Amino acid sequence: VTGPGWREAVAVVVAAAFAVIVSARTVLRVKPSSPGEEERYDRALERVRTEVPHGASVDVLVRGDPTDVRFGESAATAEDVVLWYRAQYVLAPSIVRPFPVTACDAPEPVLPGGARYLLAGDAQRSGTACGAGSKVLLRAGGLTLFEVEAR
Amino acid sequence: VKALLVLGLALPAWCGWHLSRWVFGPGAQGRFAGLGRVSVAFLVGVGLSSLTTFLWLVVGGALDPSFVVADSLLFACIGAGSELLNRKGSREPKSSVRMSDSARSQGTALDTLSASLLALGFALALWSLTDMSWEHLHGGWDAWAFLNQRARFLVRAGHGWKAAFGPDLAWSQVGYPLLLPLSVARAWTYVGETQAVPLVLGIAFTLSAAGVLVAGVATHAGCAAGSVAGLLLLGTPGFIVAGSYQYADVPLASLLVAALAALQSAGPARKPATIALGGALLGFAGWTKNEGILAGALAVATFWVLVARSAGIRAALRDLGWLAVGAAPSALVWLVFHVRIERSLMPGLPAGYVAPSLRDRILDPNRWAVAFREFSRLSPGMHIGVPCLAIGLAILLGVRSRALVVSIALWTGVGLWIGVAIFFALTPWPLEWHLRTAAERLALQPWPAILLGLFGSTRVDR
Repeated sequence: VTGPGWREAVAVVVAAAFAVIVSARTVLRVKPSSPGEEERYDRALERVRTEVPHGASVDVLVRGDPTDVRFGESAATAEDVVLWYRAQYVLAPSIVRPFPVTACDAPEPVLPGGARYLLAGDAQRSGTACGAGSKVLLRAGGLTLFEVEAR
Repeated sequence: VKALLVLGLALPAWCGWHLSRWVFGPGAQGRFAGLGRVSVAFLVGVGLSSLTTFLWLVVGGALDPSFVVADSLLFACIGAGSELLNRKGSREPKSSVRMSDSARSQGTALDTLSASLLALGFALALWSLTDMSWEHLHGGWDAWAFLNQRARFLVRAGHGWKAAFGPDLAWSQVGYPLLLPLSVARAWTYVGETQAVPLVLGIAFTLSAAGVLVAGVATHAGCAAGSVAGLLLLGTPGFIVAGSYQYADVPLASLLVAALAALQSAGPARKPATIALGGALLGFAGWTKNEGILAGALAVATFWVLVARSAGIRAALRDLGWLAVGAAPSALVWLVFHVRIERSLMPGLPAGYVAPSLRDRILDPNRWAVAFREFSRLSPGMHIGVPCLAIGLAILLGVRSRALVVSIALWTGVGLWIGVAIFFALTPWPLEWHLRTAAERLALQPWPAILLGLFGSTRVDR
């Protein structure tokens, strides 16, 4: 690196070394061993997709308004939002609407503390009454979608 | 399936290839002109095909087998016509840019070293992109929740595709322009719905940004500077992550840097076709994300001022006309989209949320401080010092202040960075939430343009 192009050579080598280190860090990062939340939803929702009439209306039970970004103030949690958005993604072109619930005696099945799903329209739906500590199953179209611990 | 996917992508890219000669054609200097030309061909191909797909839908078509026949015939005819025109004796355009003697490589050893290390950088970036994409097959949040969701509506709903823009979906950024959803939907119509399509597109957009950057810098400052710029972009962690997450910010950054490379390569001769192609790429950027409109406006204003300063106002007005000719198709499609399909540009605020008034936001110094501080902190690679490294290497490569002052890429990139920071300061959404969820992505948009401006202004005197 003593010739006329030494500065270019140094610059190229430094930039390349930098790119190699960053790429190595990316490739060698610790990868999650279990599927993420979205993938868990996908499996259940994909099964439901076969049950939903093309373009039907679908409701997802959530706590509060999932469009409210003021987490902490809103009753909706990040989990509510992910489930609702993901349901829309998987079930498109059905229109998925949020169905806010706040209490166990709401007119629709209420499953506090976990993923909730409700099919509207022609599809069957059922849910058990909730109570602290009890297991709550939500079934739609004969499929068990989620099993959650009621709190 | 693979053959159809290749056909779907290759036919528009073939048309783009003929147009790309106006940026990195045979007259262009530099070893990496071919890399730049392939990248521009891909970008132009994707942009053109998204416009024709949208027009097909607007005139009453659906994305079904009849679309595949019509679409492939259209692009085969355009490509074949361009090929015939080229062969018929139209003179190959000579790039007006001539590399200065000092920028011309003095030894093949340095060129070979640069090309080899750049190839290594591309290979590692491809590995990283593939590895991360595999982990996020559906892309990141914005990709699956908004862009790919819309693509699913366009394909799955047939003639009812407008359901994607109904009031029930107002939360899902329905005002986003449609270049990406249309590109994904178009490819799905060819090969069926597979996650390979948005994944491949995300990777291709990321690598094409680097390809254009390398070629654009090399044309003006030599192979070594081009390689350094490309390696820094490929070594910016956020850029690779956003590319593998299929975020729209990377395609926007790619189209912007390609447009700026075209406008830079227009040079003193200011070839109308090159300027028009730059305008077309700016139009595609605006058709990708609404920030692209701001970027386009900044690029046009900078270009106009620089031309007016060097060649006079009359020449600048003429060039403005050629820019408008190139951008017109995308602008018209954008207008049709917003007039006939979806009027909103941004989603509405949550019910019950009262944003501070615009006056209060403007007059609150704390908001400005937080917005600029956080936007700076979240800028590309800031946490590992990439911007400092870029400046250091540019100085090592002999960056010239006079070249920086007249660099359209640098002014546009820096202007976009400041514009987006101002956007955050004035956002009606909760500031902290908006910065946390969007700032890191948006800060990537001007990054390749800034690198093009910085390294395109270098020259080592020997």
